Amino acid sequence: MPVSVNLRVNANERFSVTIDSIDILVSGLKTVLETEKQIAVAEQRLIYKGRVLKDDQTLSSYGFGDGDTIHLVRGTARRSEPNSPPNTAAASSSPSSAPAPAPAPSANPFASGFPSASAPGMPNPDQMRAAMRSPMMQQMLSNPEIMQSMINMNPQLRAMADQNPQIRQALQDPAMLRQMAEMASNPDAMAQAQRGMELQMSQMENMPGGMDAMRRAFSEMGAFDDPTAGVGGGPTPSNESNANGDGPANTPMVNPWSSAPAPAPAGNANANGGGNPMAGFGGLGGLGAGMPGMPGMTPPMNPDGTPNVDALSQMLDNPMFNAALEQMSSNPALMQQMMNNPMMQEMTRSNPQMAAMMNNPEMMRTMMNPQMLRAAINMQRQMGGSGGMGGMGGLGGFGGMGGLNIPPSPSAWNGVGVPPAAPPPTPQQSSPQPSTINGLDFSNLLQNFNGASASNPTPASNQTPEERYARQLQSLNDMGFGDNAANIGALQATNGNVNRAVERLLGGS
Amino acid sequence: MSTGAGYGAELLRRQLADLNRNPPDTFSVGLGEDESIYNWELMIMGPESTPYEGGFFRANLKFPESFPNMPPEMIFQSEMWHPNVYSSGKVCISILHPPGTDEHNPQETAEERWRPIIGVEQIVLSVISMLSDPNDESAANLDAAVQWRDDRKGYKRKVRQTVEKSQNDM
Repeated sequence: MPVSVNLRVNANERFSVTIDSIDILVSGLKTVLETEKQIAVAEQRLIYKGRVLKDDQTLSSYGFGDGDTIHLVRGTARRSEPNSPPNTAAASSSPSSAPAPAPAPSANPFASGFPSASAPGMPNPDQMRAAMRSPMMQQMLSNPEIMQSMINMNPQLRAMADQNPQIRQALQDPAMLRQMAEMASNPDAMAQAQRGMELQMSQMENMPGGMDAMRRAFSEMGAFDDPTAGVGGGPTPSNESNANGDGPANTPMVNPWSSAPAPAPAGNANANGGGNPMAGFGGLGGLGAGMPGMPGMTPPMNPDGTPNVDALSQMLDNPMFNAALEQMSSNPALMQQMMNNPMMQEMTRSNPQMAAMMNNPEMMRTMMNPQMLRAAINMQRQMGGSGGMGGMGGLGGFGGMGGLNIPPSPSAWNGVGVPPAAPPPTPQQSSPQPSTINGLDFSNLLQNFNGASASNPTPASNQTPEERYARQLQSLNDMGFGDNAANIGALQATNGNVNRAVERLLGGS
Repeated sequence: MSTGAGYGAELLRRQLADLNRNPPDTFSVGLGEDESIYNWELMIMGPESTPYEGGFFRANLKFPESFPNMPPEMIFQSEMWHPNVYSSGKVCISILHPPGTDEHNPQETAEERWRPIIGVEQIVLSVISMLSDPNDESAANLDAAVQWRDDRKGYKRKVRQTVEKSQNDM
């Protein structure tokens, strides 16, 4: 029976071959690969499930199954790029790789996205940490099913994921989500995760069609764009023009991927405890408003952290949003799954009205009704607070995170429910923070992100290294590294990553 | 097949299936000889731009029955020369240290240590990142640590020998 074998050479190169039977000898497979890929049998190393495949064994003896993936590595692994055959574009994440033609350099949303991610609203790391510790959050992050249902629920997102398995993978990879969550709550992890991010970024960029999907997502999200929303925003032409990543790090450019995290004020839901049916309602409103927001479209917020009602109304009028709401409210399994969450159970236990509400699909549907949501928003506005409006909207931002968003505000996470354990953020805490918070210099980190993307080969690569890394050089100078030649060397070796360049300069490696 | 039961085993099975469906670039995992879900076999490809580049390092991940409450151990089977790898092959890295604080190691905060939400992929990526970035504050192989600090060239040469050895072992 013919079976297909997926071969993975590196992040950018995969291919598959069809063989007659899994009883083929490994040496036989290598011969096939030599014919197909002009890689000499002697140079091939095949690795499967943690083992190097031996020539005199059959694939079946390793438990190989149709469609499984085997790592193909070039064995003449001297110092020069063992993982990339000369005829392929080298991974741009590899510091040693020479500039290679980038598929769509001008469309890199991340290049311009990161700088503006330092916009107000970066959550306080302490709050973030508290939120991340909540069992609900952890369960959610470690449950691929939930992410999966969220993806499937949203037709736009699903289309995107279906077209690009890598995007799907990114969105439902618990490890990645976790990593991002941790990054947000831990400055050290943030620095560490950065390396992985670079890799992810390069994967996205190098994926044929990936950029298009991103761009499409952007323009779709443009529907939620409201110029009056302080931090909300959609793609602008300047995104493109700045896409080579060389722009100033703190360009106050609007960008939907970074606009999400304006912390909502402490939810009424939290503050008022379980006895207030309205409180639960507020939380649910957030649930409804945020859940479908997978591609990063959290409810727009004003700079002062209150939801922008006009923008929200606009969002509620969007057919795509409505469709997502409809789907969600008509998916009892998903609701059930959410209900099974210990946090939710706790909430419903302490609030019988809430429980009754949640168990009534009709009620849920009514609540998801846009008019209803709008009324809730207005009500909340009049009450002077925004209740749980952020709600699962935070998760929306998180979905965006799959595409490298900065996680949403902690109060948004809390808004869904009532984690009694999590201290309600004080109004002061929940107002948008400046980009430098508690000594964690986000702008610097973001600059590094920017540096990472700046290193992606662009058509303008005839720049001198001095020009290309002018900003990073300036940073190094500011840090007291005076030797420009050494600085440039280090920046080149680290693809313009200031942190790593510093390590390099200090470590003398 | 495996005899593992309960949440930990299920979690491991899922993560293994995920990693096999979408293999990472830098390593490959499968079950060990005994086919127990608690014993994984790894092949780590030495990270580029480090002395380990081009190497194929075999390792085992041994999970306790109490996983994920307690962390697994990671043991290199291939010869390893690294400040944070014992000569037995056991990896010494903060995220594989049991939760809580350690009186012998007060500078290590709870955040750096094992937490049940850490995934296997994250563990291996951390170890790979450790290869390029040794932590000389907690040395497991003192000789390697001293050499790494005082004689970087000699250190690299020694690592290159292990790389060649790993290639020949294939």
